[in-house]
Amino acid sequence: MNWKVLIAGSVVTLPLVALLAAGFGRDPKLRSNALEGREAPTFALNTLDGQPFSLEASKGHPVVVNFWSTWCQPCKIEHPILMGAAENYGPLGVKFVAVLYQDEAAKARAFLNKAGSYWPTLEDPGGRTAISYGVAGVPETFFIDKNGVIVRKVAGPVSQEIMVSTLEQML
Amino acid sequence: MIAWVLLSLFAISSVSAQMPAGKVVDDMSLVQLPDLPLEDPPSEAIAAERTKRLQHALRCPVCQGLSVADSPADAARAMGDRIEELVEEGYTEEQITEYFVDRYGAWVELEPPTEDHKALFIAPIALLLIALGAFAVWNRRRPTSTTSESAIPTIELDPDLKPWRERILSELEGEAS
Repeated sequence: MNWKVLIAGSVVTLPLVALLAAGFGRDPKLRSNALEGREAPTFALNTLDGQPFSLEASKGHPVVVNFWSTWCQPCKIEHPILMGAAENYGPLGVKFVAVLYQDEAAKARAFLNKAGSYWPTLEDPGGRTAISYGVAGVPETFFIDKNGVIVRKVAGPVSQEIMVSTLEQML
Repeated sequence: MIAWVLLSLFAISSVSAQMPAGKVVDDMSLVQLPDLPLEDPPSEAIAAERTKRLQHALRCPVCQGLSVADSPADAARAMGDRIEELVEEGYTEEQITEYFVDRYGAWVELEPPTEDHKALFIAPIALLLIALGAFAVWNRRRPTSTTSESAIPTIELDPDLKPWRERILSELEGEAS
């Protein structure tokens, strides 16, 4: 065996293989969590019932902001986890709020009447709040600590484990 | 060697892309909407031009490789409307781009700024220079045997053959004359 050729070939090919592995190992659809560790953008919106809601008023409490819509199946799968979390952590001071994303209020009301809800759902005219949070699809959930800083963003449905561990960390 | 250099440059580029300048936790001024527009509200024509330029430069958040202008998605329309509002309020193109990059990351720009990916732009030139340098070193070390004279091997003449050689040469000279 020609060891010189083998070594030279390895020196050339191994880094290229590593380069390709690094490239293919990354999900090209993955968005950066640009807002994690930074102050949550404030918003003041109306609930589906027309009541005003301001994030500022929740300062001093951990807040879970969930962007969702009725046309999003993963949002419906996630709903029971949010319900369970709100039921258990609401009494401990965690505030839950949902923001409707690119959807109609009537459809949201109909869904929530059936599935139930322990939190206010807000209308977001023009999707401004979703844009200010960098929402690129639903569901997306933001965990905001007592100081108003986003400690975690979850794109896609939140699992029970992530929900509990993040809330425990924020309390 | 070239492959290792390429890998190193890729690694540097990845790190620099993940850590854009100014993205620090305590810099809250970048998170919120810029407090004040840096310019007065522009004229309708200028606003339309700026809006169009930004809508083509920024990526639709729910699409694959489509700009805000090119996408029919509701999310893209909402983003396009937001761009238009901010332009009309007097925010500069840089302020608006920064606003969206702060929220969506550098990904939101269809053509990310070169300063975050310098290594990728430098890599081809660096590789070319390395290749030229390697060729120059190899060429210098190679035995100089390109001239016609030195290419002819010197032969030790057998002294016993000297009379024969002289005779052949004199006959050749005679034929030539």
